[in-house]
Amino acid sequence: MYIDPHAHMVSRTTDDYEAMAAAGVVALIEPAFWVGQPRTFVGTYVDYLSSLVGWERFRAGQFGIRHYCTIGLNSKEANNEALAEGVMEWLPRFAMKEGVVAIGEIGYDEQTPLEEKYFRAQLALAKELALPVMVHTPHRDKKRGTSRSMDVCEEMGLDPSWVVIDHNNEETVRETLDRGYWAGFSIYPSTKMGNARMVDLLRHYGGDRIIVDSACDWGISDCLGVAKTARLALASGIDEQVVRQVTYANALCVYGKSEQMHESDWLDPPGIDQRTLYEGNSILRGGREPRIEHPDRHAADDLLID
Amino acid sequence: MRAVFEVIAHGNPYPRDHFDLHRWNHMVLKALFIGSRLTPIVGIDQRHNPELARILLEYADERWAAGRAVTPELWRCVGPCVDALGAYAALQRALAGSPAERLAAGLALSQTDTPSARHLLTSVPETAALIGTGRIGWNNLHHYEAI
Repeated sequence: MYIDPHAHMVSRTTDDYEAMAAAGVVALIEPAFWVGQPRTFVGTYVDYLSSLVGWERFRAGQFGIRHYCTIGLNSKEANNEALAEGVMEWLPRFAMKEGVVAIGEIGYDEQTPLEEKYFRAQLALAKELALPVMVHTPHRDKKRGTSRSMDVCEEMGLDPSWVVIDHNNEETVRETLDRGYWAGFSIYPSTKMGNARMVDLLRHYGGDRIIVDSACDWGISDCLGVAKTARLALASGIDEQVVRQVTYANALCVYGKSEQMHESDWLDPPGIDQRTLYEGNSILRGGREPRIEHPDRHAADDLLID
Repeated sequence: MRAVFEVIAHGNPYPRDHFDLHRWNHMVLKALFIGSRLTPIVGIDQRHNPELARILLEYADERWAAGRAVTPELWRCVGPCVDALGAYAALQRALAGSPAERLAAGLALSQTDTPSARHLLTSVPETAALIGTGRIGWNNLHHYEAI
């Protein structure tokens, strides 16, 4: 069983959902982010947030995966002040919805004053609503940007054990862990972390407070990042307990603080019935045969037949 | 995306003349991140600054830690701050890289008048000699890749 605690499923296909479920992903978290080009209306942003708590959550369920999300104004779009002000007004309403496990992904892109302003405002919101935080660390000037993100969290009075610093690498992980934060690693080809490097890091740091995610999105990325890393780690002799921590238990521990994510959600799941509708709409097209499965995990474990 | 970026970043004096330090530095970084050249950026030498050099040096470390290549052009912006940043270990590593990396690191060191820089240059006599001829510069690094 795996949790992928960072996956932008609005950009992924149904094949991906099927592949993830088959690989053992039982739950995932979809952070609110930008979508490849900046939105120019508050309304389009609001509809995006609606889809995270609505249609996408339903769609994942149709493939047997439990879907959670984080709500936030990302750093890139924070630089459009008119948009940002409008989105900030809407955030509290979305942050309190069912299945929202954190404020995120928020933080820095180019480390501008506007990014800082809305980062701080959202940290205050997370604190007020008692939600964990997912911090996106910048690609450019990464090391300083990561340190600065943690400085700001502390200045805003956040407890590091409620904050995941994501997209770490070999150069940032030591400080992230030393300061008491959760250290996320995105297994994303070419730009972020590779899974062979991740295995080396697990060998060095163990599994405490380390979280592996795929960050799969609309770019060239792999929705099986978590499952493949787990397999590679096990094949490389990493302790099974460590693998379980970083691909399952740690994410549940920190995002579970929201009280919106429970192990029973997937251990005792509703059946898959693709005849189900969401606001009148189905994932089925053209008279396709629906998949209907009753959860049988428990039945398989049950020795008594009566 | 890259074409649009290069319309602004390449062959254009506007960023040099009007971008503040932060905007300038992020333009240079963006160029590296999207695989764009630094040489065509107007003012790339005039607007060097310690902040940019520091960011680039950390970026090189990050790339190496990930087992990825570091573009030789990066050392052009680090060159004026080699001593202030203590960038000698990184340059030593670049000297052991591809021919273009070696030349770039050699050029950065040749701009630095310190015993450590001179010492490192003596470890690569052929590169130092080539730079000494004055025929090699930041704009023609790649012409010498075969050396």
